[in-house]
Amino acid sequence: MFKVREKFILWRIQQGKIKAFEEIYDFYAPKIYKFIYFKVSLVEDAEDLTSQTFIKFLKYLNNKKIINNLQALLYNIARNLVIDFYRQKKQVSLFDDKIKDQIVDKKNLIENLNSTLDLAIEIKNIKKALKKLNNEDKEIIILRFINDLSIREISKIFGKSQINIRVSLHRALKKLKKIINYN
Amino acid sequence: MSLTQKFKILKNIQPRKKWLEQTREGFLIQAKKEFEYVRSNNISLNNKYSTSLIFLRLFLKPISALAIVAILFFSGSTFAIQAAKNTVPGDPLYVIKINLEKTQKMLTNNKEKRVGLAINSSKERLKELKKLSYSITPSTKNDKNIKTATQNLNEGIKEIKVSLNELKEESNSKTTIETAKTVDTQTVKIEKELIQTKKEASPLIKEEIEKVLNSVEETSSHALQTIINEQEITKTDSVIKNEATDIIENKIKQTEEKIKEVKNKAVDLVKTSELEILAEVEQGGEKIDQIDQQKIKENTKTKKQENANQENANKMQEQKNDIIIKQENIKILEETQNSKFKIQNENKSENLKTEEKDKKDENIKILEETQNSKLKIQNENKNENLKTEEKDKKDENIKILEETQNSKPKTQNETIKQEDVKIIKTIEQEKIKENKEKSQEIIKETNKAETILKEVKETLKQKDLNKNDLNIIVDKMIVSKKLTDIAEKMTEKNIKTIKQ
Repeated sequence: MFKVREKFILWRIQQGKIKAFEEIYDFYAPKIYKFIYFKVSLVEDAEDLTSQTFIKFLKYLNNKKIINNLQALLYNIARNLVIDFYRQKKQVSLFDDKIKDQIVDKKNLIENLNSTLDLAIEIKNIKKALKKLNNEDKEIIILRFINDLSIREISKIFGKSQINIRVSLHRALKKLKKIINYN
Repeated sequence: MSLTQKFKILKNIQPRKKWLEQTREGFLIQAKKEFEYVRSNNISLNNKYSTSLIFLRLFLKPISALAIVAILFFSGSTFAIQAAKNTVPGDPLYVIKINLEKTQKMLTNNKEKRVGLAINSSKERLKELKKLSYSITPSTKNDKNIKTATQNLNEGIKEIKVSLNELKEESNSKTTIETAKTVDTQTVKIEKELIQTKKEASPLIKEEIEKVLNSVEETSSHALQTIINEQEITKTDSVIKNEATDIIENKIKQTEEKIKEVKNKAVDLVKTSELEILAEVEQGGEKIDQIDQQKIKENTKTKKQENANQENANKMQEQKNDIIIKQENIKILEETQNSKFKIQNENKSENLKTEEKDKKDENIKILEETQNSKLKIQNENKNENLKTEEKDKKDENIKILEETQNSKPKTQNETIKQEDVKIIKTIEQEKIKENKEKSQEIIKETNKAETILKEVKETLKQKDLNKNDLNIIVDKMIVSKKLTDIAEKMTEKNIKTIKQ
């Protein structure tokens, strides 16, 4: 979301206008869902956690705190919720049957009807590989390649410098490639 | 397939539509619940910043504030007006608000409406003052803003007067009378709210609010006078009485109530002064010792060594007399409380000289008893908490003796007590005298005000009243009000001195 637009929305939230809340949800809900899904790998858990992030966001607003960066706030809430989620849960399933329902890109489906299974296998492999990575590396890769955030935006979420994130991204990608090629 | 291609496919994963819609509704419902109070009361969620500051800070950071104000002012858009509605002096968009009001005035040629506009603007100034005074963050900027807000209020109220005069010159008597009535009622409301804010304000601001109150009284009296002067003297006298006398009678009632309050305060003064002095005595009389310190500071250096020897002797005796002292203290305190109430009930009657002497004697006895208890309690406290402060106080008590008697210091505690008592006794007698005199003065002034009001009431009962008579009545009412205000101030000053 553009900075100016985001700040305009924040200003309207401060006055309690509901359309601002609608816009936030419509824009950020699928993105945060994606982010969480690739960390958690079960659809139901991802759904629960995304709804929890927005509830926490409302609580944060209600405590009358100043918001400087809405995107960073939402992603950080999501990150922290996933960490707490993993503390409680012990086992994690790798493969999910509902992936096929989610892939909305119909063109690809029509063109590659035969290769949907292959796709599912590829996705499973990538997820496996991602899991072997460090938590932070995983997050950076997901944010960069799946959520399409710029390095500046990622740096604001993590609170680190851009150079730091470029380097860690590079290293994370190297590791991922190694893992995939090894398999 | 390369990694980037795989990631591209993974990007297309979306949440389920049904789930999205359900959660969206739930989210919005909760948002409505939690922030409904915000929308209904036009409060901003963040108390630190007003809406205009958030607007600037979040939305238009790179451009300077002045440029923004200029652009919005010249554009005249509704967006700017909405943002500037709830501003307060000190905000950057406050200028827009004032300029809006000025332009409104320029455009209205109808003098009647101008008076209405002046009243509304003064109400707005009051709102701003209230908002600033009830804000949570006390800072220097806030005080400056409050000052400007009070000054703006003052100017606003003076403008009401000016606009009323303009109306008088140009239009007929009926409209002037009606507008003057509305002015009177509105100023009364403003006065009430101002008095409330005055109570909770800091002393710096109280002075400025008093200035505003003066101007408020001027405008209300001016409005009254216009009502009186603009009425044509017809043969039916009842018309004149109905219009102006109602307002006058209401004002008389208000001042009478105020006089009662002030009298009660004056009576309480004497009670509180005695109670507080006796309370001080019970606690340990530290404040009285401070007064003694002032007398003693002149000659204190050479006698410290002798005092040290006395300290040791005193300690020994203190340790011996603990149990007996505590038992006696309880009895004395009970007796003092009973005597206290007797004195209060007796002081309520008129102050004749014989009664005063009797009271003074009783006061002396009670004070002697209380002083004994005080010193005993002091000894108790020292046994419990051996601190240097209390040692110094004892030194100073001993020094009083030496100065008064110019004799060798004695080692027994009893002699020290008796001589100490006399000096402290005189100081307290003086205090009580002062407070009684002050209360008498206050009551004198309230009586003056009462007599004036009685005269006014009697004149109102007459039937043949000219304009001049009514104007004289208004002037007398103003005088009585001012006397009551002076009496109120005197009560407040006295309360402050006692608490020191």
